[in-house]
Amino acid sequence: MTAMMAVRMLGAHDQEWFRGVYSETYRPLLAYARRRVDHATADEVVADTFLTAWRRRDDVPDGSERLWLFGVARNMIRNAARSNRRRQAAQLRLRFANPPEAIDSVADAADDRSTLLRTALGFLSEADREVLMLVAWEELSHAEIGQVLGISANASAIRVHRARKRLAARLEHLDHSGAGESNVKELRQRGQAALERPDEHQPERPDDDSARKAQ
Amino acid sequence: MTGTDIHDDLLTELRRANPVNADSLASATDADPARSLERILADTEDAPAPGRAAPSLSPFGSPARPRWINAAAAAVVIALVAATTIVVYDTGTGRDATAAVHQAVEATIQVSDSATSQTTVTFDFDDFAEPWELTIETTFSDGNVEYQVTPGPDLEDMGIPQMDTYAEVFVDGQAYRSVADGPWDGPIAVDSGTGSPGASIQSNLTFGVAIDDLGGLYDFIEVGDEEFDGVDVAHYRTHTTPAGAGAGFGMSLGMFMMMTNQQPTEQLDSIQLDVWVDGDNLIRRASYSAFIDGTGSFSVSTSWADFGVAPPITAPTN
Repeated sequence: MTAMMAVRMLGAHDQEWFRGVYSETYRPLLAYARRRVDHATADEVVADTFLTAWRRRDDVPDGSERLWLFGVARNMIRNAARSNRRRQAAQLRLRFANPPEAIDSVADAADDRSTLLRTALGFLSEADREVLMLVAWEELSHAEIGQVLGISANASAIRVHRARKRLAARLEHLDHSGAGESNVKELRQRGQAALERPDEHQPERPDDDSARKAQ
Repeated sequence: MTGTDIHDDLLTELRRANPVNADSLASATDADPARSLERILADTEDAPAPGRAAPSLSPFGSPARPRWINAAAAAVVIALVAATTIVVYDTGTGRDATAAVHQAVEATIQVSDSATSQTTVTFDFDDFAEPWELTIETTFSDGNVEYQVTPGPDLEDMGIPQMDTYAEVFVDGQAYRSVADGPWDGPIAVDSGTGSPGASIQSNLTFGVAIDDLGGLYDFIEVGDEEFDGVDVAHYRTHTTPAGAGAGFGMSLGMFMMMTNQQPTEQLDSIQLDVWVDGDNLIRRASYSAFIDGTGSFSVSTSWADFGVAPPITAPTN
């Protein structure tokens, strides 16, 4: 075997492996991205994530390719968000209250309760929102969430538990601060206003008031 | 156990609120994804070298399996020609700083029910004759929390009014507070878990939550080995955004948010965040500092001690 033949064999093996990974994970990765960002951005994130996997194919762990790809996509989305955090936050809240219109939704996705849940989710911190989406929408176990986030299964279980409590508290706050439907409409209007005047609108985080009182 | 096996009414509702049905999306064999795949396979750029761009993209702290070193292509070729398998470990980057910090976060959370902390907030603006400090001493013990805020002297001319000392105790679902070392007011019922103001305050003071949020920060570098409070510690550093830094310090979040609301956040886009980890893999100190161009700087530093041996907290009496 010549050196050149060996190199070609190595390349062919890599391509075969990558085609398999692409085939298996394209849909779940696209769904992951579209649950978090708009269509165009999601398509870019997916393409860039697979390109990263191809360039760093020796780093992709056997048997956990999907989770590794989720982790890369998450970091890409987070890095993109840093460029315009405030506008991103407003867009995110609006997006969660109004699911993308062109996406085929599951049966219950458009009902009022689901809208309220997504709205509440949009008010949580990125860390809380991510673990809840990973468990509920990506249907990952605690151990798998740990692999995506680079933490232990125990730590991910703790994070899910805490995030769930904060979601419940936010949901109850939304429920009690006005009738569900009218409240959601108001939130949508606030989100739209935030998009139009991003610098004037900073939706208050649930804990901000109490944190100030604590000082 | 998969995500669908984690039974919970709220999570079940959340599953139904899923806005994207993956089965309805394009598959990898559809025209556009297939074209995208071929473009990717045509890419011949080398993988980023360890320590360059790769760490920020990796969801894992260190390579999850032995890696082939692409740059040493000749070695791989020689190995294949010899019909042997060669596995080369990456030994060039040392321990991964982000992974080390994240592991310390997990280890510290395990003992977070019992600890003490001291936070110092320092404002050092150019207009100030000298830096102004505020300290917060906190004890966490078996789910109960007590803290005392001691502000520095008033700087009326600089917009910092006279502030009194302030103390709060959360114990067994009851809250007590005292202003200016005066009598304790309370008990006030804290309805934990319902989103009431009291519960939120308590949540902000929960030691584990603040440490836990450090696990959401990446791109740490190792500064070196140092000594802190008589203990050998490893010093790590990263840079983050105002929101990221605020989330990492539950106790000082209020002060931080107050400051960032007063100052244009554009001036604070890079905040230096330092973490010190001891030999037991516990986080002993963390601080962040920000420089506001043309105004000055402020920093928040928190140290922790008494892991597992914090004194019990009892209801105060007048």
